[in-house]
Amino acid sequence: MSKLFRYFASIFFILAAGSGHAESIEKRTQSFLNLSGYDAGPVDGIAGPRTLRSITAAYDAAGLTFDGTLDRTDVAQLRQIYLSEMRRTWRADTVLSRPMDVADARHFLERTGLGANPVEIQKLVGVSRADAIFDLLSGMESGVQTPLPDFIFDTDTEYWIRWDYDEPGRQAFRVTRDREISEFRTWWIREMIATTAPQNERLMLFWTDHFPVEYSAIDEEAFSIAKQHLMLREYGFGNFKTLIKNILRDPAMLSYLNGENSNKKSPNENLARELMELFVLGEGTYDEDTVKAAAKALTGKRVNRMKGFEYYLHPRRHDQSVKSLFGQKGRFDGDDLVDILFDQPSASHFLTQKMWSYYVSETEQNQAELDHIAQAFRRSNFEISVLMAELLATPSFWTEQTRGTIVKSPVDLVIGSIRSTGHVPVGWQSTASAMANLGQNLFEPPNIAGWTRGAGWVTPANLLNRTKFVADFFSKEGSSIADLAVENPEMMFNQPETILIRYGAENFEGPPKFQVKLQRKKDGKSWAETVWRSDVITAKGGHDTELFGRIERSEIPWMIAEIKTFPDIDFDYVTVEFMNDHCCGSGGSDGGDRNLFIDWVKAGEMLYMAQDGEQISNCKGDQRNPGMLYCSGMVKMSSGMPLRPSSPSGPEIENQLTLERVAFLHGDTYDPQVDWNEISLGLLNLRFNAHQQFGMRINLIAEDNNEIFLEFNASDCSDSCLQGKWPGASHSDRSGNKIIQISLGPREPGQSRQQFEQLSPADRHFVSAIWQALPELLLEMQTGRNFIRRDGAVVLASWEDKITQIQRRLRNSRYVIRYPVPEVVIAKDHSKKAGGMMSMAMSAIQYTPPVPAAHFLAETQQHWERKMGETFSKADMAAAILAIAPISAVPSDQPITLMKDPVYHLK
Amino acid sequence: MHRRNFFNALLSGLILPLAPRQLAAAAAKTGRRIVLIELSGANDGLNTVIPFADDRYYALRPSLAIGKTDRFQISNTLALHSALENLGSLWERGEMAVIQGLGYPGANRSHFKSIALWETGGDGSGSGKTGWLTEDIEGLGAGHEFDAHGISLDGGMGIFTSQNGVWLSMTSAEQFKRLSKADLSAQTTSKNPALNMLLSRAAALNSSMERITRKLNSSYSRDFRIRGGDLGRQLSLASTLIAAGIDTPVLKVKIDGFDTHEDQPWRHQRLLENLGRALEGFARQMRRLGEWDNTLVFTYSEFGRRAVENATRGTDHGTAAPHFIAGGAINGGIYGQHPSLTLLIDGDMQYTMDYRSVYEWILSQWFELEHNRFKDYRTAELQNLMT
Repeated sequence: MSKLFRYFASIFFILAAGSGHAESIEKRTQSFLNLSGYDAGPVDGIAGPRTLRSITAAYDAAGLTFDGTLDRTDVAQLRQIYLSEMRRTWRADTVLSRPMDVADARHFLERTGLGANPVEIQKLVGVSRADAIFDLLSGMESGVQTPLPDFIFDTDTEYWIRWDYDEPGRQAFRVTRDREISEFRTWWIREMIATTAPQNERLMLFWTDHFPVEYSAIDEEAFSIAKQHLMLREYGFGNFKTLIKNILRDPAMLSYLNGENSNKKSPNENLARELMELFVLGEGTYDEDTVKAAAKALTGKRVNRMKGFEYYLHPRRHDQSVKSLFGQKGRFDGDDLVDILFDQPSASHFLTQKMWSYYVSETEQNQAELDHIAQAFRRSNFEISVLMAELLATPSFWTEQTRGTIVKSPVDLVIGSIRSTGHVPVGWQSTASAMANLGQNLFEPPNIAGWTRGAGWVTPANLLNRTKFVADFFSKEGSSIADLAVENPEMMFNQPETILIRYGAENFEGPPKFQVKLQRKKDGKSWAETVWRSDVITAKGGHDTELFGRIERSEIPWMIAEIKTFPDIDFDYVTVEFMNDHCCGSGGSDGGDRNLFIDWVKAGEMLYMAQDGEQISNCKGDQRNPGMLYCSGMVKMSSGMPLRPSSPSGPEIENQLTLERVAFLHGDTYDPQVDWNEISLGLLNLRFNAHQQFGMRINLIAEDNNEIFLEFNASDCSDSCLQGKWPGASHSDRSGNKIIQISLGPREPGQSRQQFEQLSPADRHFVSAIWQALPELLLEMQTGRNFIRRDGAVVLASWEDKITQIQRRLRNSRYVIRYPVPEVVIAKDHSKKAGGMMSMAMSAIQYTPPVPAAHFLAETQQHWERKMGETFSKADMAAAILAIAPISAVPSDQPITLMKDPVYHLK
Repeated sequence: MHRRNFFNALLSGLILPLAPRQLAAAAAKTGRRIVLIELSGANDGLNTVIPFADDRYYALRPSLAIGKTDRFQISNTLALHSALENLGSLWERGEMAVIQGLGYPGANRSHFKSIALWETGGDGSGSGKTGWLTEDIEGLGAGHEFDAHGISLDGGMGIFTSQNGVWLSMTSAEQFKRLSKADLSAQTTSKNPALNMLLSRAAALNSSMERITRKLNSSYSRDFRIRGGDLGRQLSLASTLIAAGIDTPVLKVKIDGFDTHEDQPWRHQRLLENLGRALEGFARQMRRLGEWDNTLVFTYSEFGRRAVENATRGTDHGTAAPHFIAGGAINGGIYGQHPSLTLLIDGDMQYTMDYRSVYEWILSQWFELEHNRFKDYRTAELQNLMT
């Protein structure tokens, strides 16, 4: 299957799109029909004869046939019909029928996309504004053009069990998550540079700002950041109500705004408040009682991390009482709340105003136009395509007064400059950190209000860095992309004769230098002999601590260096030596420091991870991560992973239960007076014959009548708990999840026996295996951190008699007699980690710079300037680059001079 | 098209820099400064300011309680950790105050979220959107042109989140000399409000940088070496700036590493030693410069640590904690109530004073900004904090 196909298909897989919380297809159909002039009657969601008649009429007029059933494609089709209808009216409008000149084209491109390349401008000149808007909106789509990082497709994550890890384990977990978020950031940057449909990215920048989440404030949940991003792509050009309902189910947002902790007993108001203040209505449109009532409606939201961050509503935590919201009373839940919010007058105005400030102007507004757009938005039942169409067609969008009234964001400045010139800087991998230096670190907005745009982009600190960025970007020699772009990265990775090193650098009065050595053990000696050494390599693309100070570890700009000649010799260690440490300014190391960070080295056909190596240096450095060299010294790596792991898992032994870790999740102190005592265990990466379960929770239950069970709940397995069907005799919990309780006697209630008997033979063997393993699982769980921190010892001591009883009963149980299991093996499964590392390395290795869309063949600056000169007249040159007339003391028609004009910071 | 001056809160930043300052601020005091010390990672208040006379303290901290030999008494009920012995002289001079039980309703236990609340003056029901003192400080001393409204010496700018004002980050005295000015200084005004805003910000920044660089260049260099690790280095940079006459009401520094979930005794000891040395050294430098009476030092941290110790010789994220205020003008002593060690909720102490009461005191009493953002939090408990 081609990779391209895979990620399109997978977006849906990851989102597991539900339909219960979407505006109905019928409603959306009706509103598009009404807006297109085909009277479908009231938008009531009932596709009666009137609706069907008008669909047929609309399809006939467009030369299409209606197949009689309404589905998603019909909504897309009708949106297209609506846009064509709009184009017809736009073409008759004096402002919109006008063909675009150079200034119009640049304006349109910069506002709706990213930067404005001469080639793109050239294509638009002469096209009518009406047609340009139509083409732009017709080209909106949820798919992406750059392959997504692999980690997004792996729902077998360890998030749910990570609190059980000891400190080094959690540190390693965090390092991996940091790596993922930085990979995802780089992916988005590549997409923004390379996409031929930058209007999608502009809209994504809007949504990630409207629904901001800080990666570092949600306990490193990189997976949920990526999941949110894909959700926004999927719903971002659809219905705004639907989008809001999805945001209220979004794991990243729920974590960020304490939604998961909000329950009937103590509702948390954070999510409710921001929903109204920042997402839908705007401040001052509701009172505090409404916040309290809304918070109740939003209680009980939970996320199942074992199942790839699946959202669910916990019935016992959800407050089902009657709430009073904006004069209505009822047992409202989250979706009801959203419907009520959208009935409020400010719902249509709030988003309209915010989008206006993104697309039309940050300083100018026109109340009549705003009212008109907001009305159309409401009439459409909040279709985002309608809002965008109206905004781009509004007279203020095209008028002279609004040109140059938006301050370029760091993304506009950096990505826009790359796309506009086709010039990809050599150190393009550090683009993310360049933008962070300018005040916009993607996925790290300052708070729930999003970026402070406008004046917020040009705070004193940011302004200094912006000036420096522009000066550097336009003064460097032309990039040598020709050298880099032709290589096939995967081939490169597979060439045994190359060494690749992934490093990060902090510069201080110059960059770090390093050398790679291959070393061999000396018999009987404690030291190793160097058998080969590389030339001294100067680390490029590092972060300048002299100017910008130190950075967070997750923001290190990672680069890859390549050594082409690799000798064919045996070695035991790969060592990277940091040769020129240099510290510091008078403010101490925080005032500037030269450091070298090593992530991994690929040598021969092996990958060596620095985090598994050993650091030998003069200072203490970072003991937890030996690759972080804060002073002269080296990191020495001995155990590499083969680039092509032999098989994903070791040989299977029949009837052997293997697993990686047992965590103590929860335990009641045993009390014989209580009818229900429970210990919950988490099992990681469990395998038994054909059963494979990356995460699973089991409950050991002791009742006051002496009955003992093992409980399996369908929602507590990362995959399906059972291979076969769930027994007809299963119980259900209040959320409707199937439960089976496998008894260890003494009486075994009838339903429990039926549950066991109705299991498939393989499943019977599986639950028997777990029963037999239980004593060992209880031992193993004591090694984890949870056991220490959750008073496990006290709990376990109280169960002592019970456990003896369990062991005694087990000996003669049918589980042991009929389904014997040779042994339980608790072992780390390195293949998964190795596979993950490998794919991470593989994607990092795709270090061919992205090719900017409408790429201008900018091999050198001079060439580009000449091209500009050929394409545009002197009079047009400024209009192709600047939003308003330049104000530099010496006006110039040289592109470079124009780009250094203050006006370049505006769009 | 007509222009509205206050389009919405999102955009107001574009317009405000050109608007006149509030007149209420006219009388406010200049010449005074505050040095904010962030104890990053959440300091364990119970082992910093020790309620040694309370038996429950020893019950809550069976392995971590600070014994007699490792503390020095400051009242009948309280003692300081002996790692802070350098602060003894400040205490005896009556220049250091302990403010007990600071916290806020709806405690958040995430480092990132809670520090954002302290930085913006928020609480469990939501964070603020700008730094807690930015708006008021921008209105300080109407007409007076500061070299900068505030300078962060640790790179962190969260507390200075503002669309206005000159809030700088500076991590070495050399840094500004090497940075080129913002090259946006064309002296024109335009019909375009965004361009006007940009130019006026650039002009303010350039003049600020020019003055700072000039002052640094012309002041003779003195040795301001202050012990106490990175914090000492940051405070020696602060001393350099103050000695050079750089006029800024806010300086911000940070000491990191207080997240002592494990092996607390040894780690906490070292951190407090550095805090004590650096703070005492800074006070000495300020006295030498005759600036101590104009200087206020305030420590803060995202939250306190849980009263009940954990099983790994450490403490977990908690709620209320005491903090220090020091300065030549301070009326030393113990302020506020110590949280009860009996009425714990989930092993946590309950705060006895909203931290914003201290913010209010700083703004209204130290900077004489009567009408500040936090006036609802004013408390009589702090009325004698200044001599």
